[in-house]
Amino acid sequence: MIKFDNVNKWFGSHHVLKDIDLEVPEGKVAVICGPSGSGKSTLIRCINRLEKIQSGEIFVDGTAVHGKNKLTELRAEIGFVFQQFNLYPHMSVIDNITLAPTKVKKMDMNQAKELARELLVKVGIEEKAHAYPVQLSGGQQQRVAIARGLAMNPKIMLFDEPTSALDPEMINEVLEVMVKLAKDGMTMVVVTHEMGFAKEVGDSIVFMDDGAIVERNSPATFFTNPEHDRTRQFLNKILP
Amino acid sequence: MQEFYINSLIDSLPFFFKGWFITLELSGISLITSTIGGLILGVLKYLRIPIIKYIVAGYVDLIRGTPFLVQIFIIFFILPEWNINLEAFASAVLALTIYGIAYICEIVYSALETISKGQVEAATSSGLNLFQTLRYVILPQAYRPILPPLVGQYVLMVKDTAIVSVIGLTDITRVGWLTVQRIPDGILVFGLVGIFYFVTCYPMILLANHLERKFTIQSSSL
Repeated sequence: MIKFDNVNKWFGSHHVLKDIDLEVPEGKVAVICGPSGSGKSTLIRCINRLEKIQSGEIFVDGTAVHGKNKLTELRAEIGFVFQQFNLYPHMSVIDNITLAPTKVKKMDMNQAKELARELLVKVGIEEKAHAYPVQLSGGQQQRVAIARGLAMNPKIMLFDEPTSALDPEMINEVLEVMVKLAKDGMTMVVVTHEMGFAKEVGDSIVFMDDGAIVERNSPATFFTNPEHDRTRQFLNKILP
Repeated sequence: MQEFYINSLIDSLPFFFKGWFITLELSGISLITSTIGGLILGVLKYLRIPIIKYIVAGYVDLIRGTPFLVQIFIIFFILPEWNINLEAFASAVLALTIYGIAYICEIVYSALETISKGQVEAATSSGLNLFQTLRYVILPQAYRPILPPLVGQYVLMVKDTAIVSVIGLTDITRVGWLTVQRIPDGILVFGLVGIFYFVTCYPMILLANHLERKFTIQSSSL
């Protein structure tokens, strides 16, 4: 479903992604972790071309992301959830969710609202349909952001540190939604430090350091018997 | 003597009102044209389109780096050389528009820059194209930071219309010049001219202050 083929990226002279090869099969969940500045956010942002790459190619469902294809069509099939939620502050929750379906897919407004309500039930905040983002807690905002992403019925959902901006007591309500999504068979790439989540639903864990993929393993091996010293050092720092 | 002047001034009031209408007409038309132009240019600058961004930046710097009076002279005296003959009113509108666009472009651009890049990323990630992103996500958020300085700019532009009297347009300032030749009491005549400007601008100043307060309170409660 997602395939990185020898991807390299530079910010000026800074080599931020080094020879990345990675595959995420359909219906699987890849969790990316690593120290800050290791390139994990950049990597996930390349999948829907929020960042450009300088060499190699990324394929999503067989389509070259960085080739000269129709970018908006491709992006419509990939949901993206940001660390800072990025809800539209001037729109109510339901309008946040219906915007892309009605404008990009030309879905009928009533149908889109019906869909939005279903999704709000799914993320557990149906009572907030007419609230504005500013009236919601961080956890609620992030769940709306997930619903907004799902409204386009994407093939893939990308999560860029979805719980890093949240107060600790709100992290679980967001993770629960993501776990449900993973169990429903969504193809997901998740940049996170939530190792509990990684253990529970991750099909593979990718550890990045200094722009390169150091280790990629199943959760069982990754947490109990990592191959690389750097992975071990990292896990020692972040695991309780 | 003073009483005689006041009486003649009262007799000339219709003349003053006529000049005031010219000022209002000139300001009104120029505000609309320069707002439309400024919005378009501001958005273009925000989009950072190659080549166009340099043209916009060059235009803005050129206009902001030369006196308005000189710009008017250039338009009024140079255009006929190219066989473009505009009447004084059209020249004045053109000059005010060219000048207003440069400032309004900067207001719009700075306002757009205050909106987080995450908004653009969220919108384009969901499949909205650039036009839809601007139309539904960015511009609706931009009116708050745009409006207060825009109204402030309108006040400046209304006052700057005074300068166009140099090319023979009988606006309220030129009415003052003509009247003071008959009624040689400068303080009285130009005091009256000043009142006309103040009556025009003061409501706008109040509006700008009101918008400033309203949007500051709203954004601090957000």
